[in-house]
Amino acid sequence: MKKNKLLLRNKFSSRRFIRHLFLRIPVIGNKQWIFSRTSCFGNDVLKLLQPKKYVFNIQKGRIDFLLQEEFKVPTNGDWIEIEGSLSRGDVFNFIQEQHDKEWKNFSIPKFIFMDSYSDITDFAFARLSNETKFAVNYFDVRHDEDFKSKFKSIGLIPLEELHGYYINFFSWIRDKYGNIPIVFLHTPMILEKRREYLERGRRIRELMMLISKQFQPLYIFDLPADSFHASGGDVVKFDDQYHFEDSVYQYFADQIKKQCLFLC
Amino acid sequence: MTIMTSLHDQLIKCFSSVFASIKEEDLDKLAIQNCPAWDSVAHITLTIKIEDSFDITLKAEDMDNLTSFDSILKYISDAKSSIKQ
Repeated sequence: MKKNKLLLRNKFSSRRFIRHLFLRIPVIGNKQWIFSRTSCFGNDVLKLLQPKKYVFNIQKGRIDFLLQEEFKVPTNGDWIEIEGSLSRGDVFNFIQEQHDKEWKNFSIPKFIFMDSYSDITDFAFARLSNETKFAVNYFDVRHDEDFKSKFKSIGLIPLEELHGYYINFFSWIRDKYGNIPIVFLHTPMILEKRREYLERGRRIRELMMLISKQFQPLYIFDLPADSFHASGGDVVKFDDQYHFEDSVYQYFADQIKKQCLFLC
Repeated sequence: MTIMTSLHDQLIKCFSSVFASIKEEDLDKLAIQNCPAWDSVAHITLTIKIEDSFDITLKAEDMDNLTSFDSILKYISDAKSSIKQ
């Protein structure tokens, strides 16, 4: 029974993975496309911009994962264990995206679109038996004994390493794609109260300010600290700190439209 | 009142504000494994309550050790002693 269940899951996972690969690759071809690394927040801003180009998004592509060629490609067995350890089924696709490096063979994207969410909040985990890695929110996996016997937590990107990873990634973009525009959104922290996460958001703001001149054209967008609190602070749409009222997304979209004419 | 008792009572207040439906005498037995209400939202809320109440930072790297009342109490006690030293 257990074996049958495993086989069924194996088949399901394989089919999903193959569909994932084959659906993505032909869509791009030589068409214009946008490389994005955005959470729900960035996705919703991009939707408002209606770019009319194919968007290739790696939603939970932590900056230290994006260029890692040496990451062990998960085997079918790894996929089964990873999928079985998730408390939220929908994040499985995000993990698959992390291991899909085909986008590096696509033509030059129209622009790069990123937000800071993944680097602030996503945890890395590794399979104990072979060091296969993936990154999701801490509570996207079940922290039971079974999980702990198969995986270990590697944690958030260490603060002291963030700067180096950002430099590496943007340098790679410039070497490979030349001077294409990069749009970077600081994920609003207006609803976040945890000290460590606030500090991470601050550090990313600082480092982006430091390196912005080095990687022009790089457009950075942020929410003015008090503008939305002043209107009553009623920005919570869902029950977490990173989903906002429509006015927040609209604010970013309007700012981007003003500065980024290449979007038209 | 010992320091540990005081921390315990202070932590009970944090837990009771997050897990309002659970009896107060059961709160110090809570663990993520035996409490379905202890989900990501509850954990984040609890983190914020504890940080504000004890003026400490709960580090994400220690998350695996912050999944029960007892382990959190020990964490706070260690954090407070290291501040004093």
